[in-house]
Amino acid sequence: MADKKTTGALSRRRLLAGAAAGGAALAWGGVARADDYDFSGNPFRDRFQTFRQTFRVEPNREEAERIVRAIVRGRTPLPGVVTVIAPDIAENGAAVPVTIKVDSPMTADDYPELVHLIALENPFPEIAKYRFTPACGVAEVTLRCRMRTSAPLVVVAEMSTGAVGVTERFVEVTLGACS
Amino acid sequence: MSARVLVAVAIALLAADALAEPARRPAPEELLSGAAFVRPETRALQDDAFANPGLIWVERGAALWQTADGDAGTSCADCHGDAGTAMKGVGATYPKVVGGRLLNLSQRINQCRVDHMGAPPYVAAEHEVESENLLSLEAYVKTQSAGMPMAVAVDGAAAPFFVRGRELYFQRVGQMDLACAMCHDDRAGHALRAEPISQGHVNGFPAYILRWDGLASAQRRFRFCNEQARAEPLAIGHDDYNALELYVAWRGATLPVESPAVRR
Amino acid sequence: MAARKDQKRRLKIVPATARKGDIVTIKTLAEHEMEPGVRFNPESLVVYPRFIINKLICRYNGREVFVADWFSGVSANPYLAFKLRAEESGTVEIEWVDDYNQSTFARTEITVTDDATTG
Repeated sequence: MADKKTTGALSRRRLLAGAAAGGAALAWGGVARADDYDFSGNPFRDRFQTFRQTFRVEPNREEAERIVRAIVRGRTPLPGVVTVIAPDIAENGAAVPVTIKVDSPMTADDYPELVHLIALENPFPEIAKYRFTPACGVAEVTLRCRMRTSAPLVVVAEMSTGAVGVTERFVEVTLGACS
Repeated sequence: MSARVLVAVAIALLAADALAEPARRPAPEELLSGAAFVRPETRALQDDAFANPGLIWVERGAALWQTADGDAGTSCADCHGDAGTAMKGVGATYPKVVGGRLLNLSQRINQCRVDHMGAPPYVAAEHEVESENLLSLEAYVKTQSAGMPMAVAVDGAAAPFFVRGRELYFQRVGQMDLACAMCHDDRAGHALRAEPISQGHVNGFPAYILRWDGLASAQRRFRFCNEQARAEPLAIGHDDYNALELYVAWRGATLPVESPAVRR
Repeated sequence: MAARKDQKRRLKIVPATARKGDIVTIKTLAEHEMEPGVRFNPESLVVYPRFIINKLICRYNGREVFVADWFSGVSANPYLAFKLRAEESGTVEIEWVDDYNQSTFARTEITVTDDATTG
C-alpha cells in the first residue's frame, strides 16, 4: 500500500512537473486512484481533497451538503450525542478554535469509530477525520481549523454500532479591518 | 494686525497642531494593550503556555542562544550567560541608540553577531519575509522581559529620532491619506469593518499574527498598515520605521511586554 | 518558514502522573505551514501545491490509540488536544505524517499509579 502510493505520487509528480513547465499547473491536478484511499463506499471519492488536487478553489455549498449526506447515508442521527464548541464570531478565518465532544460509553462495542468535521463553505469541505478507540477514555478533540467564510461547521460521528450523531454550529468569519 | 501677520499666526497654529499629541495620546490609565481588542479565544491562546504558537519561535530562540556560530566560535550564552539574568528587562528598552544609530532589538542582535561573534547577520531567505532565526532570537530575548513595563528612552541621543518618529506618526500617507493617529488615537475601539481598532501598541511584538500563520515583527506590521492605506511601504529595518517604532514604544510606555502575543 | 529539519514538535500530557483509570489530556503542537493548495501567486497564477501534515497517530506503549486524518482545512502550526485513559506507565508517542510520507515523532513518558499502591 505504501509502495503503491509512493509510486503513484512519483509519476504524478513527473506529470505535474511537465505540466508546470507548460504553465498548466492548474489543470493537471491529478486524479485520486481508487485503491489509494479507504472510501467506505463513499461515492464522492474524487471530491475529497487529494495530494495533487488543486483546481477546486471555490466553495460549493450543495456539494458540501451532499458530502455530509453521503457520510450519514440515510441513517437517523441520534440526538444530543455530539457537541461542537466554536466561537460565534471567529477572530480570523485562518485559525478558528473548535472543540468536539462525543457522548459515548467508550467500550469495545460502542465508541465513535470515525468523527468527521466539515465546513460547508470551504473549498474542500472536509477538515479532519478523527478515529477514536475505547482506550481514549473520552471522545474529545480540540483543534484550530480554517474557514473560508461564515458557514456552519458540521460534525458527524459514526459509531462502531453503526449509529450516527450529527450536529452543526454556525461560525461567523468576517472581513477584518484591513483586507 | 496686518494680513501677513494673521497668515503667519495661522500657519504657526496649524504647524503646532500637527505636532500637538498630548491632547490625543491615551492617558496612562487609559492605555490598553492589543490584547484588550481581540476575542476571548485569542486572548486565551496567548495565555496558553503550551498552545501559543509564538512559543515555537521562543523555543527555537532558546536553542539558538546556546548554539555557537561565526568565526569566534561562540554562542550568545558564552558571553551573556543565562538569558534569564542577562536579558531581563533588556527587550523592554528597545529601540535604543547604540553607537549613534537607532537600532531595534533584531538589528542589535545582528550587530552583536557581526561585532562579537564574527558571524554574518541573519537575513531573510528568498522564500521568507523575515529571517526565522532572527525572529526566534528576538522573541526569546523579548520574553525575558515578559510582564515588565515598556521603558524606552526618548531623551539624550534618542531625542532627534523621537521627534522624527512623532512626525511620522502624525503624517498622512497613502491614497487614503491616513495618519497613524487618525485610527489609533482618535478611533481606537471603533469598528473598522468587523474589527475593533486597537490603540496600536507594540508591547506584544514580535507577535504571532493569525493572518500570516507566523511570528512577525512590529515593522512588518507597519508595512502592512502602510499597504492598507495604499501607501508605499518601507523596508523592514528602515530608519523611519525604527523612529516610528521608538515613538510607538514610548507611546505605550508602562504597558507590560506580552511577546509572543497572538494578534490578528 | 523554518527549514524542514528545524520545525518544532511539542507534546505534553496533562497531568503527566495519573492514577489508573484517570483521563489525561494529550496536547500536541507541530510547526508546519500547512500549505492548503488553494493559494496562488497573483502574478503567475500558479497555485502553490498542497503540502500539509495529513495524519497524526498516537501510540500508547506501542499500541495505536488515536488517529487523526487531516485535510487542508486544518490551520497552520496545527494544534490538537485529545484525551487518553491512563492504564499503565510508559511512553506516549505522536507521529506526524506529511504529504510526502515523511514522519516526525515526539515522545513523552506517562506515569500511572495503581490505586493499590500509595501515591
